[in-house]
Amino acid sequence: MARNVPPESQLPRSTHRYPSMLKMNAAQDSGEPLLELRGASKSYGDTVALAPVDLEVRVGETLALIGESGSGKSTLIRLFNRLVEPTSGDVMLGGRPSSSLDAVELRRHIGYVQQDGGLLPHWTVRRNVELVPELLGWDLARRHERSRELLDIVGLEASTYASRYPLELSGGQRQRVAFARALAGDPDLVLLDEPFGALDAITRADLHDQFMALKQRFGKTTILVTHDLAEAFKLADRIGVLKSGRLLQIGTRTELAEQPSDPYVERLLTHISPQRPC
Amino acid sequence: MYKSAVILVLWLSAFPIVGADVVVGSKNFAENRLLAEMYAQLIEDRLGLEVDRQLGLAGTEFCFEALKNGAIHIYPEYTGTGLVTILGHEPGGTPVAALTTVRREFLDRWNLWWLGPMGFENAYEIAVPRALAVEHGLTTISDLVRVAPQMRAGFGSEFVERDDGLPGLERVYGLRFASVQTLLEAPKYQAAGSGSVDVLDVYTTDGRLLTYDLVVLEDDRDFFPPYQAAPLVNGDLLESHPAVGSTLALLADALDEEAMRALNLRLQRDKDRVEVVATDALTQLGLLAGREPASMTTITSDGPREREGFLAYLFAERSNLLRLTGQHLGLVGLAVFAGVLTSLPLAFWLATRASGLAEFTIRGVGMTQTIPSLALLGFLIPLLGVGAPPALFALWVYSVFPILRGAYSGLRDADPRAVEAAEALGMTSRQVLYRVRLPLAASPIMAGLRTAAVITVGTATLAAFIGGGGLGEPIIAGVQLVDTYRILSGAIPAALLALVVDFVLGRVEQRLRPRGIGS
Repeated sequence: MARNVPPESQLPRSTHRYPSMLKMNAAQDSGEPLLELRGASKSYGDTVALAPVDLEVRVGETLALIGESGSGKSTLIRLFNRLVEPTSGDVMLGGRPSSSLDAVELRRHIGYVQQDGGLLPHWTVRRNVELVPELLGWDLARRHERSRELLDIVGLEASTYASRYPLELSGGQRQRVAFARALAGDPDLVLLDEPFGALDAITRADLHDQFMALKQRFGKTTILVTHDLAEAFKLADRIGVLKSGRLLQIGTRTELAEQPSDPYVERLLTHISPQRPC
Repeated sequence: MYKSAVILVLWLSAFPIVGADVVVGSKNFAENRLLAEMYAQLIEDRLGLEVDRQLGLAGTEFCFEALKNGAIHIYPEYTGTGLVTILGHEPGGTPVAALTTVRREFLDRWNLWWLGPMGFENAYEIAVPRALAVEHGLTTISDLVRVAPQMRAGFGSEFVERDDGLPGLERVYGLRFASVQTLLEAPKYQAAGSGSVDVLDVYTTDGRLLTYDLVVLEDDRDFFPPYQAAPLVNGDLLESHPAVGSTLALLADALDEEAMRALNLRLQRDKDRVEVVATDALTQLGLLAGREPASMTTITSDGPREREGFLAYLFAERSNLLRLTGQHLGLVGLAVFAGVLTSLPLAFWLATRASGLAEFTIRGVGMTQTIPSLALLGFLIPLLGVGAPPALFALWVYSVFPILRGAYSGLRDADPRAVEAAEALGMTSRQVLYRVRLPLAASPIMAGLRTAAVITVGTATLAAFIGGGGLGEPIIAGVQLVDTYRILSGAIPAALLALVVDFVLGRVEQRLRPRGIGS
């Protein structure tokens, strides 16, 4: 499978290092992929949700998975935090098979954002953001400092928003909180499942900017599921195209644009204006 | 917690003290209650024993089962009922033969003693309104056979089932009616009075024979067995308290049919209280120590009296009603509390299992709702006796389903996105259950609880059928005695209680609903 990974030096580095579940530092230092799928597939009875996939993701990289609904992209992303277990093949995280890692412990080191939040409605914004730090056993002072810091970073003044409930926020604000929550435990990996899908165009553009700022600042390895090709081009380093449970092609924007390996990919690209800034 | 302990103690104290020396029971009709009350007062007065009353148990079956397993020690029974209903013999025979048979067999089989008959028979008889009797020239049951196919019958539920009732009557006389309705005692007489029923079963001593101007048809084929009333006593009691036997023997031959009918009339027409009528009767019989014996003739009723208004009635009954309301609330509270303790853990457990198992379990539990409550209470007597325990058990059984259903659906259907996020961010399944699903399910859980509580307030009125107390007591007694005030004095507080319970639990639900969740 074609693979084109940016050189190490171009990837932003995390400024501080917390203990890493996925041995991220080692992966980063050795140049090994952080995540790897080896013929991983998923079937429900006779229904194939995902045909066997080979895939590698490097530390600090942002990979977008694009496809229609039912293409298998949500199944694929869930393999990494074991919300879905593969029917065959292996999911390697930091060089170890995912099945050898404790699922609950693993998830505490993987950020997760869904379409329209998934915020716990009965918890305040602050408590939502502090969810993972709390599960990791951070003390209160550190949790509060962390939630304040992250809320400020996503543009929600902590003094105003920390004590609000999700119901009292706009859709865009809720997604900002969800991003803050996903990053609060300083995860090794961030999984985003159509996080901009339910937002209006203006809010979405704002959130895209926010995403880029977070990417710049934290440099987290990120997998982004989207059905919007423009969004994928704008935000991701590499893009994987899925259709009917098959990964058709994976590569950089340039690779996809210049050497589409499949008529579907080709057709998909005609919808993207070539002048669009990336 | 302290508060609820106090409430529990207060409530328990509303029940008769467990371990009274003697427990007297009765069936749920006026005469039987009166006789039982007379036994109780006589034993209290003569022997100074502590007597507990379980009056108004729902029928022969309930009383007999309770007597056999010692939940009650004494109740007034009729020899014919013992012979035919309990022993299953053919109806017929002389009074002495009937008494001898039941005495021997009850003693051999269950160590139950028939004491001396009280002097009157309260047999089943067939009656028709006087106008109808005149019109068709009816004097015997054989006369009735001709015209029966055009007549509508109204019979008590026991009479319809018992072999010494309608089935035997049809067999011996060949009676066939146009229709047979099963009615409670009081409505049966009312129906005859208003002309919507042409034929009814009556008791010889029923005072309403006079008030509704009914003609008793002669049993010309001697079908109905003799029904001498006598105290039926558990042998263990006679062993531990032999004096009870000799004391109740004082009532042997003390009342004839006429005297009994007059006493019944005081209950049925004048709405006098059972305790008062019992005291009067015992005093006039010269059986209460230290009271002037009165002449037997004054037992007769003075005729209907003007009654005070409903509010005055409520006021007069206030302490009794308050006690009954306390009992009622106690029954409901304890049963629903037990229901919560059962249903919530079960719902939690099911919420973490495959949905197939959960549906299967909940359907199974739902079946309990289809058990008729009287049947359930009947089953429980051999196991739990009479009084509060079987009532609590039955109410608990009925409360489980609504709570379980609400809690399970609430936990299962809790906002799936929030649940997925909680899982994806590393909550254990336990944490997801307790910190996400449970708070999000607060409303449906409370809704199920409210439903259960309100239903239980209603169902708890049936507790009175097995001596469980509560507001059903005046309702059931009132229906038997056609005493509207008495019915309402139980029904209105019960209805108010349902409203209050619903309101209070609604407030609790608001308090429990987590902030951030819309209503």
